[in-house]
Amino acid sequence: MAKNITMPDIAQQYISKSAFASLYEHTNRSVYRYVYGLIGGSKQEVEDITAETFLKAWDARKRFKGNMQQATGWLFTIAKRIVIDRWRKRKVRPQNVNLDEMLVIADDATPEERTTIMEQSRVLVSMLYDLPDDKREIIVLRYLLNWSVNSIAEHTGKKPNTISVTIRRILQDLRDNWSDYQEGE
Amino acid sequence: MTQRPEEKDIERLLFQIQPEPDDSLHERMQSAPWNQADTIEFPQKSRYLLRAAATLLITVLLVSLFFNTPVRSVAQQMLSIFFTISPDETREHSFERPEPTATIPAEVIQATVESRRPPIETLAANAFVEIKLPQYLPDGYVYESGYTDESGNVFMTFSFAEGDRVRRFLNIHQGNDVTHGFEIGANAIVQQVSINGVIGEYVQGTWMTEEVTETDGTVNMTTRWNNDTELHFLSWSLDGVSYQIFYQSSLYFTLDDGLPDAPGYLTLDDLIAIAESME
Repeated sequence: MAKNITMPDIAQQYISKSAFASLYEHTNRSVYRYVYGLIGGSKQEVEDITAETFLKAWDARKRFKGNMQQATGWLFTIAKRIVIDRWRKRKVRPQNVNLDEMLVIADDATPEERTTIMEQSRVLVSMLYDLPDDKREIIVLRYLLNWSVNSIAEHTGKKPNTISVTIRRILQDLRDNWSDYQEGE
Repeated sequence: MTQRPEEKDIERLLFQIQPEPDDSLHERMQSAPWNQADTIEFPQKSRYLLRAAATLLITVLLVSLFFNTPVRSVAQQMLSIFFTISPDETREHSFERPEPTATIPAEVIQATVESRRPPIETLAANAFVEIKLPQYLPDGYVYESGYTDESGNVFMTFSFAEGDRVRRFLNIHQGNDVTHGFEIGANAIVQQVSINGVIGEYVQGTWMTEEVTETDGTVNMTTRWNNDTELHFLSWSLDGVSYQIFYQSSLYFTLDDGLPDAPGYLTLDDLIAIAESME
């Protein structure tokens, strides 16, 4: 009787069309948020770069092998490269940002609370895009994408402790500079 | 003017920023390459055989369920595009081993070995078809040797060394007739696979020989097809060119020897990845 052939638990490869389509399904939102966090451009620009990221990844798929987390990091690297190529000399600023569309506010928030959150978010987004690129990336990974400190450390090649300290300092800076930005609004 | 938030409030605000892609992105990606239907290309012979196989499929399956090995072999023969199915699982033959008459000089052996190491460019120049090279090779595999036969078929070997003890080989054959007459056992299992949308065939196993020398010097050899060996291979055809990729090692491991975890071991997925990367 033929024995069962047990295939090893190898890392996923996104070479076939179906596997790549699945990768897109699982990661398009993360890539979109990451690109949004990097450039703060219009929705159209964020969408353009997200689409270009997946098309470049498709062309390069045979050179990648890894799990879903590594695949997401790989897509972010591609997206970042596109952003650097296109935006190197351009100051990133939020353009035509419709906070209504991207803020998740509790349903039971009162109109006053909702207004406060909207105003604070407008200031915060403005401050976010004045951060140095590397610090903004860490904030985007931690909060917009909800990555753990360890995952960010792995992706950026830094120590987890360094990431934790960096995040804490950024939050302190955001708080300390809040009034300046609010007055500038 | 709102009150300056504390750090925990800023964290909460950051978590609330969740931009979402519009449907327009997904609609746009509908035309992306991975969402396009595969175009399956078969050589003329394959198309004919596939049509015949489709017509006979149900009959063959029913027949093979109820009859013995030779009948199953016939069924496989009709279903397989690339392989010649042996009528038996075993072959036996006897011969008298001749006495060695001469020793091959070392320089002849060396010259033979050297002739087996032409650069890939030379193989390509001598081939009768435009050869394709794998753009993806698993870590540790390097080009080792190759040759072009009189029919212009190209045979390349890539190897992986695990210390001094084990060597693993990836053989890539391509040309007009590399699959011609390639025989597998009646009990071999032919599995259809997709290689960039083109249907190929995958087989795990090889012929293994047991040799018994009788007292009168007669050598009796029994060769049996074994589905559980380390050797496995893919065959497919594209634009009139046939391709085969073999994986094997210098030792005859079986699947019970912890192979999947062995360094350099190539799985079916690896073989397909290599095949799909050839350009």
